[in-house]
Amino acid sequence: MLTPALVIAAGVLAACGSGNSALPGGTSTSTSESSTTSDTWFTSVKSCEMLDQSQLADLGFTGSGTVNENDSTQNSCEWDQSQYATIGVVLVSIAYDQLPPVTSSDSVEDITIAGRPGKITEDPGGTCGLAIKATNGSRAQIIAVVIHGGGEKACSLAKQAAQDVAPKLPSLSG
Amino acid sequence: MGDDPLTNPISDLSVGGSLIGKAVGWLTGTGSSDSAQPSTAAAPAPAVKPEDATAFAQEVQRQTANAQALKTAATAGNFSIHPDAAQAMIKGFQDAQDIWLKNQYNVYRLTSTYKLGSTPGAKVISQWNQQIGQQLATAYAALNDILQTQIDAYTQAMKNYQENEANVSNSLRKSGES
Repeated sequence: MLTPALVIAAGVLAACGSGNSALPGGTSTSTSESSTTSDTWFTSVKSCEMLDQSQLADLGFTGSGTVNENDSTQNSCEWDQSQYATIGVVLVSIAYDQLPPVTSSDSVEDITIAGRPGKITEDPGGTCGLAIKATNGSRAQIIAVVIHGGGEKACSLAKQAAQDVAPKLPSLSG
Repeated sequence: MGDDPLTNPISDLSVGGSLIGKAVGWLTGTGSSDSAQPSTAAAPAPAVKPEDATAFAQEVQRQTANAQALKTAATAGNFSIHPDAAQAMIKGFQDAQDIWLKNQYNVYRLTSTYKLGSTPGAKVISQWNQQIGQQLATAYAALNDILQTQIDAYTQAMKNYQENEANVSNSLRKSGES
């Protein structure tokens, strides 16, 4: 016989299992919760789970990720593929529109990823930075560096990764 | 590390190798220098002087020219090397590219997420960091091009060697037949 408490718990667990796997407890996308989401929401996230193995394979990566930093200002994970590329997901308490250009000759352009406003900057040297809004004061930043193909290839990778990461971020509604 | 590029795959980048380490130290604020730059507890300025950044950029330019000259020589058939040696050197340059890859990522990650605050002092440091950092970042990005040019040069030099060997074999065979 199921008690009401168990039924509620089962319902909560079922909700948690549907998406947002990188967020603690599968952070809800409801308006009421997102309006109170802290800009340091990422501190309890597993940044290396922002991209799953299938998504990484599509991006051309076979290995597991390495956490760079996890503190109150940044939680980041990188994946390296020899003779190909390094890509990283950097969750950081800086607004998305504060993305600096890679070099003085580069420009920062607007971009929208899965309905989220963002900024992207491409470096002909093979580096791309892309930031999408997570909360008002935080962003998910994708950094891609390639050995071959230059900034265009790097930004292609970054955009694809950003599409994969976006659904795992706190809701923007509210 | 010796100066002869034929004895060490990375020796052409003996300068480049130290350049990589030096630049990463500067860009991430862990480098050493006798310069006394202003700093804040929240965000210490990378210890690099403007002239250091300029010297670094000039050295990268020089290395770029050297690598290009080697590639030009190989393309013209004036540079050949035994395949075993060429493969070892190419592997060395590819390993260096992998090091460059990780460092380039980390340099960009750290510089693009630097928070300096909004005080007048922080703004001065921010501008200083931006100018120096971008000059270094631009030069550092070019190191990958140097490595790739070296790989192209040694790949061509290996082909030259193989073609020379084939030509010699053909000549000997023809002279033996006549």
